[in-house]
Formats: sequence, C-alpha cells, structure tokens
Amino acid sequence: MKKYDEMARDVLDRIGEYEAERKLKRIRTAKIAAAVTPVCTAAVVGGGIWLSGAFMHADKPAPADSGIISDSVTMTESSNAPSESSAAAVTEKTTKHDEQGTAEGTSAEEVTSAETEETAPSESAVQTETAARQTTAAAATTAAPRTIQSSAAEQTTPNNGGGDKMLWCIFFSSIEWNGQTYYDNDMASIYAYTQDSYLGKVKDFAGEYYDKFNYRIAPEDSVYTVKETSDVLYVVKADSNSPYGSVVLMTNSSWSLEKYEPERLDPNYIDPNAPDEAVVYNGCIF
Amino acid sequence: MDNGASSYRRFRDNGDESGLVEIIRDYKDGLILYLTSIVGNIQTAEELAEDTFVLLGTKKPRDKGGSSFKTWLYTIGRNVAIDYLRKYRKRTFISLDDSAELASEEEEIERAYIRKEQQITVHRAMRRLSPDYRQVLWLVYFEELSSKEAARIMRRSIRSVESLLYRAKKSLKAQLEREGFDYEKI
Repeated sequence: MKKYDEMARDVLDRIGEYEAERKLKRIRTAKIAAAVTPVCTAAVVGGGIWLSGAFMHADKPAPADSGIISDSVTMTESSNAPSESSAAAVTEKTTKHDEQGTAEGTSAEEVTSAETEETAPSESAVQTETAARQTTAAAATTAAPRTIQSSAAEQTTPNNGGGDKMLWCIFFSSIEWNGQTYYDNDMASIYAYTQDSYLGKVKDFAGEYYDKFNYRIAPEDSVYTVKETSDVLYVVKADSNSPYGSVVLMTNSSWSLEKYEPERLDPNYIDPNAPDEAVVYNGCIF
Repeated sequence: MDNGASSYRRFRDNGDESGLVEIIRDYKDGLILYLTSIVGNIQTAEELAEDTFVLLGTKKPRDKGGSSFKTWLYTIGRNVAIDYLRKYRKRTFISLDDSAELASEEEEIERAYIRKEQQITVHRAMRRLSPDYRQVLWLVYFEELSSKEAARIMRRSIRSVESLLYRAKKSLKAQLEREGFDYEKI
C-alpha cells in the first residue's frame, strides 16, 4: 500500500507525462497541418479554376459521354518530293474515289477533295499525331495513337478560318444509326472499305458533330454505308479543305482491329505470308 | 470538508501542486476503501484512486457546486471504477497468495482510516455483502454522508438509496449474527 506522498509523486509524474505527450501531439498536429494546408489549398484553387472552364479552349464543353481529347499534335512537313510508293498510294486512292464518284454520283466537292489528295507529297509527310488520349467513353476503348491520313498540304493550312480554327483540341464526333453509336475512328483505314449506299447528311442523324475544326465531321457531310460491314459508316466530307481528309470513317463498338497490315494498321488485311490456319482432325494438328 | 475545494482551486487555477498533494493526503484512504466496496479488491481500488487523482490533475474538471468536494471526488472515483469494471470485469483473477496479501493491506488501511475497533468489525462483515450494500453502508456510516449525498454519488434517487440502505442494514445484521456478533451492541 502506497503512502500518500508516494501516491502524490506518482500522480504528479503521470500528470507531467500527460502534459508532455499532449504538447508533443499539438506540435505534431501543427506540423502536419502546415504541410497539408498548402496542398489542399492548391487542390481547391486548381479544382476551382478547372471547373470554371479556364482550361477549356472550345466555347462549348465536350459532351460527357464522348470524352475530351487532349492531344499534343506534332506537325511535320517533309520535302515536296513524293516517294514512289506514296505516289502510287495516292494514285490508287484517287482512282478509287473517281470510281466511286462516278458510280454513286458523288458531288463535285468530293471529286475536288480527291483531286486535292493528288498533291499530297508523301507518306512521310502524313501527319503523325502523338496523341495521349484520355477518354471516358466506352466506345472509345478502341481509340489509340492515331495517324491522320490527310495530306500535308491540307493540314498545313487549317488556320485559315476564324479564331476557333486555331484550336487543335479534337473532340470525338458521333452519330446514331440503327440504334448504335458510331464514333470517328482514324484507326480504320479508308482503303479497307468500299463506299456503298447513301444514307443522308450528317445533320439528319442524332449525335455529336459541329461545324468546327474541333470535330471531324460536320453537319453537311454525307454518310454512306460500306459493303464490307455494318459496323462502319463512310462519311464524305463536304469541306474539301478539311484537315481530316476527304473521308472520315465512323465505327461502332462492335468494330475491332483484329487484323492489321504491318505498319499500316489496316483492318481486314490478310497477311499473304502468314501460315495457313491449323486444321485439327481427330485430335491431330495439320 | 471545504479544505479540499480550496486546495483543488489552488491547484487548478494557480498550478499549485501542493494543493493536489493535500487532496491526496486527505482523501486517499477513504476513496480507496470506498472504491474497494465497488471493485472488491483493495489493490485495484488503490490504482483506481490514483487514476482519479490523475484525472483531476489532467482534465482539471470544474466542480459544478451543489455538493461537497468529497461527494464530487467520490462521484468521479465511482465513475472511474465503473469504467474499469466495464473494461476488465471478465479478467479479474486473484491468486490465493495475493488474496492473503490484499487482506492484510486492507486491514492496515482500515486501522489507519477507521480507527474504532467496532467499526472495523462491521467493515469486515461488509465484505460479504453485495457491492451496492457495501457502497451505501460505507458512504452513510463510515463517511457520514447524508442519503442525499450518497444518492448523488451513486447516481440514484434518494428514495432508492434509503431503500437500499434499509436492506443493506438488514443483510449486515444477519451477517454479523452469523459471525457471532450482536448487531444491537455494535
């Protein structure tokens, strides 16, 4: 049993320890608060600025389901001398367009745009767009680093319009057809698909498109089906000077890149050098 | 016991540690014996009494008035003891060796605090009663508190405390008679 003075000493010691601990805790809390407060303040201010739209360059914010694309576009212009292969490719493309134009009664604008492509210098002059895309749209899962297959001549003069034409913040365009949403997809090669029936103008469809440089398709563009699949729509640009080329392909979520031509990302391409598919018969692989 | 209140004020308002030392000197034994009536173990009661004084020293609660300092202190002690019981009720085990040692410690403190032989006999007989009976008998007969003050400490109504006291006395009488004492003479 403790004497009263022993107990008093113990009690005073414990009170001293408690006070010291409380002081330490107070100092620690003050330190943490001093470290965290500027970060929180910066986050709040940054969030406020972001929400106020100060970082948005378009006068209309991107639709929530289409996703905002923040691209850093590197524009390179090569020499004017086209290589043989690119010339061949351009010729082939022009021929194809001419044929289609004849067959389907394409407008003069389309022919003009096809002709414009003849002036394309080379494949190396094709715009390479180093795109780090971030999108929330489900259909945009097929999006990947892109190559814009339009001529340098077209792309070097995108700024001949008003102030908003200066902008290179590209938004996804979309149109609704047969209950499905088709998004612009420049992973799909226009050479892999054949223009088929005319469906109407873009403005006849529901979707996200504006007559602005931020969108790949405009209301006056024409929409066609393709012969190969119903997952792709063929949009012929009305504006022959469009930096996105004369044709923009729109794909739905069923479209996928299953087969690629090496280096060209060409869907539906069958590699002639690939080994034949294995045949399994009676458990043996042939 | 106004001394306790003035000592506590000195400690709380001026940081005079001697005020707290005086409180410990004056109230330690009584508080320990009271807490023993709650927890049934003098060693634990001593620790709880120390915790009560530490609580006074760290939280520095304010006496709301309306009762004596002693009543207020015992109320705090009782709350500390009840918290302890809630926390450790299932873990209290005392070995036989410890039990003998504890009994001798309790006798020592009994002699120091109670002094009168007859009262010591009553206090020992109280050990066999229920905690509530022990508490009310301790507060009313040994600390000489009124029923009102006992009710305040025990957080009961005055009527309930009086009824409890009546039953406790009856039970104590039976216990003393069982041990060969004459209750009326005590």
